[in-house]
Amino acid sequence: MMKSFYSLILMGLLGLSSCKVDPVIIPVLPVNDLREIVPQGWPAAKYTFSVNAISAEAFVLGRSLFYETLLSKDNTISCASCHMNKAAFSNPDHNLSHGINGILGKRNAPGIFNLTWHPYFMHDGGINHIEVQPLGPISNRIEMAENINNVISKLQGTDKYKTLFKNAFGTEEVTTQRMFRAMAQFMGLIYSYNSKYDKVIRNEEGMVFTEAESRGYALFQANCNACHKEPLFTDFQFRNNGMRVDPQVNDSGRAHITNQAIDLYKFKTPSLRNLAHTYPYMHDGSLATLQACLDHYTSGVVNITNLDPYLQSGGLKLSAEDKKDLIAFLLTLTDNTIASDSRFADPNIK
Amino acid sequence: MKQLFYIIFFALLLFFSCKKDPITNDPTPAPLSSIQVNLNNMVDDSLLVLNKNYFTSAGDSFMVSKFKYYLSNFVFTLEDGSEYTEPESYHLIRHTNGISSFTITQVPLGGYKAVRFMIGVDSTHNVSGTQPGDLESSYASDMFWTWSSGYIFLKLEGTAPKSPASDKLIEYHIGGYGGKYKTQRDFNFNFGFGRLNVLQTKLPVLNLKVNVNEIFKTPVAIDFSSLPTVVAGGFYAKQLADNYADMISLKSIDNP
Repeated sequence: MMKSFYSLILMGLLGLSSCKVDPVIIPVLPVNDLREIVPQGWPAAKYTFSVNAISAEAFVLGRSLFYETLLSKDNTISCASCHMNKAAFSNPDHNLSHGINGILGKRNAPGIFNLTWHPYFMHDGGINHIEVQPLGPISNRIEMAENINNVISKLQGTDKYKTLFKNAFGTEEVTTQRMFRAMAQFMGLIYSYNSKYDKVIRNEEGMVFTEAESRGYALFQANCNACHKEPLFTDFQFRNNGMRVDPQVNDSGRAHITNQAIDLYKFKTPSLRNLAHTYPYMHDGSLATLQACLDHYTSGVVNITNLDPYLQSGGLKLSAEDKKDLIAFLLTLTDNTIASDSRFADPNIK
Repeated sequence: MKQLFYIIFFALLLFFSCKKDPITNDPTPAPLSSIQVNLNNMVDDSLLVLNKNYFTSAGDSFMVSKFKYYLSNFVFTLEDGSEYTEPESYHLIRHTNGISSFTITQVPLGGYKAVRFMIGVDSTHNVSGTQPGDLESSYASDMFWTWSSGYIFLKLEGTAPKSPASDKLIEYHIGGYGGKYKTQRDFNFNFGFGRLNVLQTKLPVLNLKVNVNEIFKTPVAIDFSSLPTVVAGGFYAKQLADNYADMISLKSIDNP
């Protein structure tokens, strides 16, 4: 009884003193309708938020961290520097990612959507869980190059994050688990399942393919679907698609993780969703257009170690007309809801 | 009828005890106590001192600047064969000069006749995202591979004159949680006639000796000139794990 009386007084005093401090302004954007989604006909997701209960507060914290430059050593780079909202969270500006001090990275930044279906992350699949994914780029010397201890103390030193962590988890304490679970909420709830393709498949809004798109879809199913498997448009396997190995970078791909010769130059099959936004293409960002990609598959495949069986015997057989139709189909995989959804937008922009 | 009274009585006790003392809200305070585990990190018969010169069994000189490892999944066996399994049993040992120790709490009272545990972290906890406690400290302590997910189970860094690496460095970062190159290693110690007596008022101590020199010795002698660094899982990590499989021995049990 006495105790609660004291705590009342204490809280009163706290309340009083906090009135003197400038209030922390947390940008408020609507974050309604946050929930796990498994679109009709899709497989079950790998990550289900079962130990990371979705809340608006944790999502807002995760979003703030995603757009936070304090995550990098010199406080200049955030996740969003390479994963841009307008481009399905990929980077159309750079073929290879740029790290702090303008250091050139080794790979192209992929888009961020439908991550909860991914069994592993990065082009080489080295990271095995969505919650530990941010550790990779944060600590990589050619990316954000920061020590996680420093990130925690930088965040802990700001009123903004004291408030955001308290709102999300009940106390101001910053821990890696809290950080990364909040970020998993933000990144894991970026879904892409509302492209024209999806609406046609779902028979929605009277959407139908044009004739070129229909022909393209048939070509896709005959030539591409084995690896870029519907509905996620990836099989999540590691494959060597015959890209020339840049001797300067000499990226060994999956073998960097497994040390197995059979994995040399293999990379995770990327999703074809949102191709209109995720240029330049391939793990090294070396192809600027979809036309260049299709030309690669018909006449540019380099016969190097571990070339994928589907591409041996000279690559794909597609005419110039076929390619036009195929591109028409691939563009139906564009989902503009990612860019227009204010829940995913930079909270620092008023 | 009697039982009903007891239930009401306990319920009332619980009710009042919650009000008076919010810290102990355990309805049936089982007799529990603790065990202290001491890690005597040594090079053969001397306590390991960082940055001091030692010799391997093969006679090669080396110094250690950093020595850390995970011990996990402690299970203690009581006299009658029943077992106490420590929940969330992950302990990161960071060697500073002197004896490293940690305490296992909430242990049921009794005389224990054996203990088992392992070096490393079980595969499940390597693939389940962020974890609390000593596993969370892995990120800040550089005991987690951020580019190829998984805990580093043992890290030994230092210098050796024979090392061809720059600054004569030797670096062994050992991990790998599954498959043919897994590097967890089990330890199982029977106390013989002795007993580790967990009592309400006393803190028994399990003294373990950890001999750094075993890492370089058998079954594969590590030559600093040909293998100065291992910084990822795989063939060589497994070789070192096979070596550290007998790194820990039971030194003594101290019942105060």
